[in-house]
Amino acid sequence: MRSCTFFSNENEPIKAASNVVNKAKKKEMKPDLALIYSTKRYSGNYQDILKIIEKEFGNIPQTGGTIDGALFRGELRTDGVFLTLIEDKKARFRVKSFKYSKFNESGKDLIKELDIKEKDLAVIHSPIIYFRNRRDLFKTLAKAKYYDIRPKITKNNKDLIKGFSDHLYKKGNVRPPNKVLEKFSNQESTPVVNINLGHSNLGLDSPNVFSNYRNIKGDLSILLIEKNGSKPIYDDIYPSKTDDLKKNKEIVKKEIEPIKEIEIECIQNIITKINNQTVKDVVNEIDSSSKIEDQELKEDFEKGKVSSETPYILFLFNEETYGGTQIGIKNSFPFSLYPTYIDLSNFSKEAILGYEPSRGKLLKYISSINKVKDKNRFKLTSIDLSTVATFGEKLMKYRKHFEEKLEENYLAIFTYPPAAYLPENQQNQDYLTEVDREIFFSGGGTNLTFKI
Amino acid sequence: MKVDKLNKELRELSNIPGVKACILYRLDGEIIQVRIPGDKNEIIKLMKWMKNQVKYVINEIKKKNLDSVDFSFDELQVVFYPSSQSTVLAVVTEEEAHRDLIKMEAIGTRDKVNKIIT
Repeated sequence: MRSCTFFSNENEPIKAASNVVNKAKKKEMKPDLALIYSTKRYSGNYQDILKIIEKEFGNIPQTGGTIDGALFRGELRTDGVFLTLIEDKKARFRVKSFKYSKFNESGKDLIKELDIKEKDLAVIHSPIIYFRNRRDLFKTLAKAKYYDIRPKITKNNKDLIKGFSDHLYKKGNVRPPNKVLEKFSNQESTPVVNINLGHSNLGLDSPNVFSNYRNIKGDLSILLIEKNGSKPIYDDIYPSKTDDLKKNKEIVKKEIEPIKEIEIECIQNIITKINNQTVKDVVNEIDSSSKIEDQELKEDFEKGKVSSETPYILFLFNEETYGGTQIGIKNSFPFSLYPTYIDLSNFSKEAILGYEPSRGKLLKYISSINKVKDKNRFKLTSIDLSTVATFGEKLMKYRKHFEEKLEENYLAIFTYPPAAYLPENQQNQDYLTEVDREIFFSGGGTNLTFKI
Repeated sequence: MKVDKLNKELRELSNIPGVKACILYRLDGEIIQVRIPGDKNEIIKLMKWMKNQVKYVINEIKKKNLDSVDFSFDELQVVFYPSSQSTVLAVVTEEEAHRDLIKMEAIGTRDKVNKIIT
């Protein structure tokens, strides 16, 4: 097995693409898979970059998308294009693209269509939040406003709120990982990794997904890897959970510096009330500095300046698994209905409001690499991009850590926290972030390494 | 050649959106290398001031064991990083730049400059 990552941040996108291709050609590899990632600087020109790389490597499958940065060969780069070539004759790689609408409507037939084999590892690249264009955004905000006002004058509000949630799911504006991964949950042996693409600043038509040298924008790319021993290593920053919900709540309280215990009301992915108040009112009571009006939100979205950072979190518990997830909250969504990126249908009303549990956990955010035993395989790690704002330049310690633990043949990408579907025989421990049966995710603090 | 390597590192740093200038100074304030990707007039005025700050910055860094020294103006930020025993890397960014990400790149460049020079 051989792999190498090539990087360029030339100003002109075509120059950047040619640069990485020229560097790659010098290595004289016979690659079997290409991973292509780019930061947002080449927005509007991704297809030009892909076209140039395709000319040289178009005979092999490719997956990837836009990210905030990457770590490779002891370097941490936050601006440019990354081409990783993997040469592995013992593996078989397939990449398939899916329109989001088709994926969303599919059921068990998806597994058939993907033709997943028993030994496969599946890796999905998809945005977790996506607005295709201005019209898409305005439509959703208009619906949010409508569904916000109507329940105050009619009594039939649950259907209306569910209608708003259904709209977000149907349009793909929000793609809860537990809804994405539950499509795979009836097959017993193939683990599925969900690389949730996203950026620290939200904007229109962002992130973008690259699949077989096409910029498929907000659609999905699924990579299937058939090789003995290919598997994901998932981890989170929390201690293991127990079989007792009360004990798990105490575990979480020790981690997140709780502000208070609360009761939520929610429908699917929409939080309607926290202790009978709206989310924005609850956050305003603690801190009103980030308050925003809806016109400002629209303008910021168009400029790509909506920060995905959230100062406060809710930790919510699944009533079946006794695990849970953190969700960031802020008062910059100006409506009463607060959409989140997780479907809360099976979640308890009792939750905890607190602060990000990141103190002293710099290396916990990349803990999955500690469990990699076979360093000769290629490893891709997905790191929570909130680490950039949380730890700042301390993140540079990751360079040395990756070199020590993984030595070579790795690429680590900074994007939204990853999720995973892990059949029982693939689980290494009782992760607290089990958000649905065999599905693992949290709005912060998960990391995942998969090895080929 | 060391000069080519330094040039490459500064060029890559100056390519980042939001970076207005990268300057490698000797400890006495003399410029070793400079990259100004945009409007040079805007930066040249600032550079006169920066040259005079180098000695002060080095003193502060040594006295207080600092990793960097930042100056913020209306629309620009200037950060000085000690890059070796004999050099200081200065990075000028615009107000709206993503400073967290640029800072990480600057630290990466600083470390590479250190390796090249020492």
